[in-house]
Amino acid sequence: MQSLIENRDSVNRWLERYGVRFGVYKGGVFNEQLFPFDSIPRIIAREDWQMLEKGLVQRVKALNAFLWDIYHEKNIIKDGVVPEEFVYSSKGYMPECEGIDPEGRIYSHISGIDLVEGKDGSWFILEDNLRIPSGASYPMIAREITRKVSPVTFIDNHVADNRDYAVLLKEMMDSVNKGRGINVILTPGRYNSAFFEHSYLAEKTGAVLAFPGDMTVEDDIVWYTGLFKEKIRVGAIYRRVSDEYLDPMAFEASSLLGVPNLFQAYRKGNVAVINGFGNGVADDKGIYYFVPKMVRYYLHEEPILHNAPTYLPYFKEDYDYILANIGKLVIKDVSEAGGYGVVFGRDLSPEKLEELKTLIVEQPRRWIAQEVIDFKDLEILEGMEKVERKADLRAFVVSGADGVKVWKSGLTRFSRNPDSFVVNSSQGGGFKDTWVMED
Amino acid sequence: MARFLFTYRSETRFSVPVTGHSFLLRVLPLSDGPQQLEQASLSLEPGPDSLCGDVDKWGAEISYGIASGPHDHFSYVSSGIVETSGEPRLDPHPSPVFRVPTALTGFCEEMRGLCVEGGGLEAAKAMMVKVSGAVAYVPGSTGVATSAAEAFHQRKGVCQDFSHILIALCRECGIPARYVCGFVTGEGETHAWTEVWHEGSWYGLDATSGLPCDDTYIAVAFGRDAADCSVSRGVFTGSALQRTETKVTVEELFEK
Repeated sequence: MQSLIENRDSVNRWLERYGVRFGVYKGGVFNEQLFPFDSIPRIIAREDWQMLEKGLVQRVKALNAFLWDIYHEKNIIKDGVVPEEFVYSSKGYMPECEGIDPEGRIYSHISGIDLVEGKDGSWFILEDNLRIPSGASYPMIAREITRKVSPVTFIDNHVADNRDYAVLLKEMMDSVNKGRGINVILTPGRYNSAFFEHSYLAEKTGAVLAFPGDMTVEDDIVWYTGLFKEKIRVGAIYRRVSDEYLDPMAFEASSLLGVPNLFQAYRKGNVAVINGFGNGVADDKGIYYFVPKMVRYYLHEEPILHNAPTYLPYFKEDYDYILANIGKLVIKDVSEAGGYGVVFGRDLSPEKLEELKTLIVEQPRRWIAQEVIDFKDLEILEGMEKVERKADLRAFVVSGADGVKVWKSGLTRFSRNPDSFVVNSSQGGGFKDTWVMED
Repeated sequence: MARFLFTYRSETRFSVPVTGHSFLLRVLPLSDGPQQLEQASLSLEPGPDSLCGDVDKWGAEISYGIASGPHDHFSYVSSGIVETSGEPRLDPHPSPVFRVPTALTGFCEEMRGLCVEGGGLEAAKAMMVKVSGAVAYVPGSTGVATSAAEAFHQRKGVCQDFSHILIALCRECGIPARYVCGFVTGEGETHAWTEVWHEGSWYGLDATSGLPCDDTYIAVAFGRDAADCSVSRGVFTGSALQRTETKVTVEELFEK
């Protein structure tokens, strides 16, 4: 471990050479920044991991069952477990998806589940990311580099090899492709914040990296146009373009990032789209509250992993509690992502608190409130000094027609600002490798 | 009961030839309870490499495909005979999305004065009359992306805006409402109106004229708002300027 710490700068130099960057748009300006790597890994003990793994598989199975139900029978609404308006007023609900049957009933093929560890060692789910969760490539390449820079570290420590993520992805893609054509990764392009990841995952999985304009749809079949204008049939698209921009014929008409008439090809079952259309309805921050109920409803099991204690102003008793305790809660705007729209009551002036209360009273459905969790801080290096910072863990769960697998690693993000609880990379944080121990 | 011969023509000219032109059209009337399509045809020029037909999520006929080779114009004609009854459309379980505002149909406090409480068809009709009186029909005053609130603020708009404003009001007052795009008798553009749900059926209301719809209204597509009902969408490769002319002709057919 010491050797890893000593080699921190050389790891970061390698990352820079590989172009491991994260692009951020702020005020309409695109800036690419390095995603700073901290060489002290997060270590997860084998027993802890076994519990996390079971809990994550359970949660993602329930979420996929929920998505299938919402776009088909809607039993969970009929049975009064999830109120109708949480589904239909969600921006992520897409009536277009009604009745569509994706391969294996999988909507969320790649789920990025954000967790935090409390000071007492218990884990809480913060957020389910079921649309286009990013970040797996960072620990993948960091591990590749640290193994080269400090091989002895991985002889002395029995860390589960995480270089199999690409294999998990490829197997999943193949399982929903069913041999209909090639696998592609569709990137919006060079100026996307996660372009490094798109190109890296394409290289590692053997999928073709496709840019907007590389694919066309004819007679409900998707074709990739090759270097010599030859047409190659596409069987699965791991798209890194969001639903609303993915097909200008069906959704945002001005989008130049999509594949025209892709939605029809998907609807007819001629191509797998990874992740599926319409997943936003299940990773809405308001729906999050109901996930433990989904586990009981669909799987008839007790949830292994718990949500952070959450209150929905929609329910009268929660509403009263939030207004009375707003100063100690964290308030989230359900429609925002990436660490935006997250406010800590204790940081607000009395006037701002009153303003926030008014917003909650006016639009109760738009907000959720959570107790502030006492995170276990992780050590990071500031210069050569070890300091403690807030961190979370994004676990990647890969669901194919052949089953659900959890990647034995994850993206540990930390906040560089000692006073901040927000760890999103778009807010300027750094990352660590995540070691799952084998003994 | 009425029968109509309809023709929808659209012709687009490009300043330089374009390629890889994907399109999706909604130019054929619906065939459902109160409206039956007796004959229909669609022809495109240049002939596309692929042309498919399907129905969209709300039941409208869609025709889509791709014209790959270079072309400097793109035109299509849909025509046929449709019979209408002017009766409301039965729908015992309307989708709950028709109660929820969208980006184009958000309510704003400025509209509050037009709300009529009490619910049901009568309240919706009263709001339709108010919208028609409060907003002026001014061609060119708004665009496809203008929201109900923006159009209402300037008190000007076209049929799309009248429909969006009435939808915003109805949904605010708890009445499910949806957007309808279609044809009306005579010669001109496509028209848009609103349907409101009342006791198991959808009733057509035309906020532009301030009158309930009768059997001279031919529905082509429904949706939450105009974005769900685009008559024509297309993307192509080539930096061309384009000019499109469209014309709808609907004439009533009388028994000999």
